Amino acid sequence: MTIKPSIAVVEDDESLRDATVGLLRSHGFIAKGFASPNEFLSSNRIRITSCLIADMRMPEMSGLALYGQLKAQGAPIPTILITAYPEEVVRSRALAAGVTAYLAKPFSEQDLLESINIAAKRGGAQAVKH
Amino acid sequence: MTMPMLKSTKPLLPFATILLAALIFIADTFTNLEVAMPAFYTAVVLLSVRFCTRRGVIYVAVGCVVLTIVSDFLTPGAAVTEAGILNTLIGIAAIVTTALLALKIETATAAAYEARSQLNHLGRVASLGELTASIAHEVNQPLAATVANANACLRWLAAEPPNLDEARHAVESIVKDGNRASGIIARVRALTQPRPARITSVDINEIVRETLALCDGELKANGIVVQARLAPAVPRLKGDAIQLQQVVLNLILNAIDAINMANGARELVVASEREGDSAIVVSIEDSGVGLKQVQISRLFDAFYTEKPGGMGMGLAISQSIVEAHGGKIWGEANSPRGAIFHFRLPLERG
Repeated sequence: MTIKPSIAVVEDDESLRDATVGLLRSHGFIAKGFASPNEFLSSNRIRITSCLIADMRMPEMSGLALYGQLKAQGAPIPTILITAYPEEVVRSRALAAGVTAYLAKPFSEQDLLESINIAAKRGGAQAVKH
Repeated sequence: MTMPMLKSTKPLLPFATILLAALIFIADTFTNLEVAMPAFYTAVVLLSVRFCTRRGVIYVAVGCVVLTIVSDFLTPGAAVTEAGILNTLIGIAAIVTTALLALKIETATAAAYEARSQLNHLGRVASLGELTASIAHEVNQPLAATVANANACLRWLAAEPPNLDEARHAVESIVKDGNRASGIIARVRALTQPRPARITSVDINEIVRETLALCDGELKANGIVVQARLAPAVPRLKGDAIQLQQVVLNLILNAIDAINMANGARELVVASEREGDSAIVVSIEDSGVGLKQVQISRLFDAFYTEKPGGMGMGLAISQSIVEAHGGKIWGEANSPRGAIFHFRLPLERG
């Protein structure tokens, strides 16, 4: 019996944010959208978020910087970065930093679900470790 | 030869300079005027800057100083007077100062030239790269939303029982994002559309020459040899000089890229030719990677590109400009290698 993880979608583009949240909900996940990294950081959802989907390019800070900040705060939530402009250099930097996946927009449903699966396993491993 | 002292130039100037130095030497040696004759050597130094490298200019200046001193010993009945020594010192100071200033200006000019050509290049690369990134970003957002919504919709419809409200909501979002994407395309089109034409009477050879001058730094930096074979006395035609320059510039920059993509000869030929009284054809031939048959049919399609990181806009825009001038643009394989692009512009009748 697995509990479906709760997913945060941090994406400044409203329609993509809603669409992603909608897709996740259609798969039975609990998903909540945030319009900016700061909105997420100042929310009380960090503790119960088991997977983070974050846009790479956002006004306040990049998705990668958000992941770094969470890691620095001692809450390294397994993170899937999504980007409209994939770059190999950024991908390797992100993966080296510990990000679970780096997906190019438009991402496929399958890639997203697989990444969430991997994130869930990582999150579980971390939970055991701590 | 390890360190060239001469820039390639016509031999007239060096001869004139040597002659001038000899005249000053004779005048300095055989006249006993109360003037600092050696100061005139500054003219020799200034002339030498035109045809000598930095090292050459230094040698010329040293030579002038030596001549000044030698002349003092050769002057007939040379009583070493205080005034004579003073004149010599003034002369030497003038020669050295002139040489130093000339070299400094030369360096500054070269640096400015280098900076300008780098700026041109960077500007072009950066603006294209940024434009590509921002278009990719803008278009991928609604695309990603559409894919996600369509997937969600399928899920809602497949549920038992189907969740029609959610499915409808997802489809409405798809419609919205489709419209948004088409709005972005419209904005990009507006951005790349040529500004309203400013039609004047233009000399196409002049436009080609100006564009070649504009690309001079880029061509030299890439070690490309350029030949211009322009038809003598072409009639003027009605057109937008800046738009036509954009076409020529685009074809030349493409040629440079094509040459850089091949590992062969680095030659560019820009030619203009009259087609009777009805038209002028401009051709840009390169020795680059060349064109395959399949490419030729798609060359002028927007977003079609053979260049890594290319936008595929240059030739499409060039075509729209040439056609707006009532002309035609086409490309073909060059022999033995490379490509030739031509555009024909009609001359006015009557």
